[in-house]
Amino acid sequence: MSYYFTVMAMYILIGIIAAWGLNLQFGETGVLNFAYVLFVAAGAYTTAVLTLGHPSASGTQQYFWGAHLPFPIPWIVSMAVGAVLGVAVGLVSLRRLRGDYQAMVMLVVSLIATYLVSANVGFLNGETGLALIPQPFGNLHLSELNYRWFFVAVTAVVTLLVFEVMRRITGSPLGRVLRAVRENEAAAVALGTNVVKMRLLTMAVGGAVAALSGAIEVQFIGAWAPAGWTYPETFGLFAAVLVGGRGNLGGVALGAFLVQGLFLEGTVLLPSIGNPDLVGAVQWITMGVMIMLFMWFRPRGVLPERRRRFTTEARTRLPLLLVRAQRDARG
Amino acid sequence: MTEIDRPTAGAPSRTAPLLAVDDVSVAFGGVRAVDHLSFDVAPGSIVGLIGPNGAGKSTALKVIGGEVKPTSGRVRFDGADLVGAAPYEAARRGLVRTFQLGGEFARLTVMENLLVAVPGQKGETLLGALAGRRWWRASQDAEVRKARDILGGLQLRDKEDAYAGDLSGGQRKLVEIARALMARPKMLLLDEPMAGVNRSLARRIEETLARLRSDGIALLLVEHELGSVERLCERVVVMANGSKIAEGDMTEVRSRDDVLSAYLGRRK
Repeated sequence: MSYYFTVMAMYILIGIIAAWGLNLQFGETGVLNFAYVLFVAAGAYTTAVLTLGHPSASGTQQYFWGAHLPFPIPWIVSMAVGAVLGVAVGLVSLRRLRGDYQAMVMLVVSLIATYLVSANVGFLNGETGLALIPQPFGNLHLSELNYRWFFVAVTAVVTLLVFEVMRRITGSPLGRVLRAVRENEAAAVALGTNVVKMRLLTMAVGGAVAALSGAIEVQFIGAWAPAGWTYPETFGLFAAVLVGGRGNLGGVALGAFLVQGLFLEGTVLLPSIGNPDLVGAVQWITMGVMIMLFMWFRPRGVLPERRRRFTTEARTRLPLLLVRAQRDARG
Repeated sequence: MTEIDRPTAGAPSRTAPLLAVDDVSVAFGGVRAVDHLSFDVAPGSIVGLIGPNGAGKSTALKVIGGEVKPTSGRVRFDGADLVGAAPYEAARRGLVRTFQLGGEFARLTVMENLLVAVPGQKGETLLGALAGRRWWRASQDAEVRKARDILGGLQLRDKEDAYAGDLSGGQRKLVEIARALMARPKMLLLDEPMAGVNRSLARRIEETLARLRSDGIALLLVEHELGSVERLCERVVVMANGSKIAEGDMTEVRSRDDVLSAYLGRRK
């Protein structure tokens, strides 16, 4: 059972990290990135080839290049790859197109990427995918269960770091400009905002965060294949953002917990009746119904984006009051 | 063109114009929305752009604001050619426009609407944001205080925490003007700021615009409410069917038969 809890904890944490990246793009900036899972995959594959070693040393697996780099280099390089890919996909889809067409282009990019990787066996081992991916911290000599909990702890620390980065971005003047772009592109431009640059920025940062989630996941589960990053996976993350509350980091984390923990993993616990594919079907049906219900009845999610108030006067007054109180005390 | 049309773009002052619209045409397919339009605006002056519905005023405003590229002609602002520049360049040079409808950031508070407009804020870059609150807090506080002053002047101080989308139509127009002021403009392009606004709010907007002029901010005002135009503008440009048909002060312009015919639907 403990083993199962480590898996659950990892999927929830990885889901939270990925959902925060999507929240920056969709929740804060309004970019409908239907190719989001592509960036998760980019991070996973990058970490895989950077830890597997040279292809000749990897038995029957075929991939274009490989190295054996220590932690945390593969994760960092994965984030860089995610960021660069984000800018590249953004340049293709975000310029000259309106929001709905941007989303269509991104969905098409995601489909093309899946088919390309699946069809080209020499690139990343085709549909079979990559397996036997080494795990980090191998020299700790922990029991398997302790090792898994240690991995959970490391991922929790990374989750906190990502939270802090997201908190700083969304709570800053930059975050305010991103929300302005989301709310009214024409008005943002009329105030001098380079909207394309802002969207590319969120594609880069969100892409890096997505890639980080993929990098962590691939080293935890040790394998990665195209079946794990088909386009519906993107909608699982959209469900997390919509259910939790777009634009609210706590809400999005709650959404990821609900989607990953309850709706995806919860359905696995259903009694096996009928067709063996039933569980998978129930997962996606649940997700689809959940997205529809929330968009109809609670479009801002369980925890809506909070209203930001500015309290400069109170904060600047307080030290003055303290100074006066000290002065009075001295007589 | 008659004498008051001022064939040389009608510059009334000897100073170099802040905005010069030079022979601008815009065609959408076979339709000429703007046809060889020329006029200019001197620093610190208020010019009205009037005409009947479909005259091409809003398209002209979009060309000046960089939202629509003209088929031909030039727009110069403060010495720089705006045609071909990125749409956001106009604002960065000090030419800020407001919208006829729906120009607010609906799910941002009034205060946030204003703060978005501040150019080059600390914390607006990725590194600045990652540096944390200490890096940008003081400069933001200064802008918040400035925004409160502006909101106070417009009697909107009590609305700073309200979502802009929850305000009345007139209040939203005031927020847009307040927001434009936060952008430190040299000139405002105002697209029907009085449209759909009750009389007392319209009066408040009018007073605000008059105050801006005394602060040295030039205004180009597209407006159907001719009483306001007459009170505010020292010069008006009249458009009909995409072309300029007259230019001069309001008294001169409104006595002309061709203007009455085009604008008020009267026959000669």
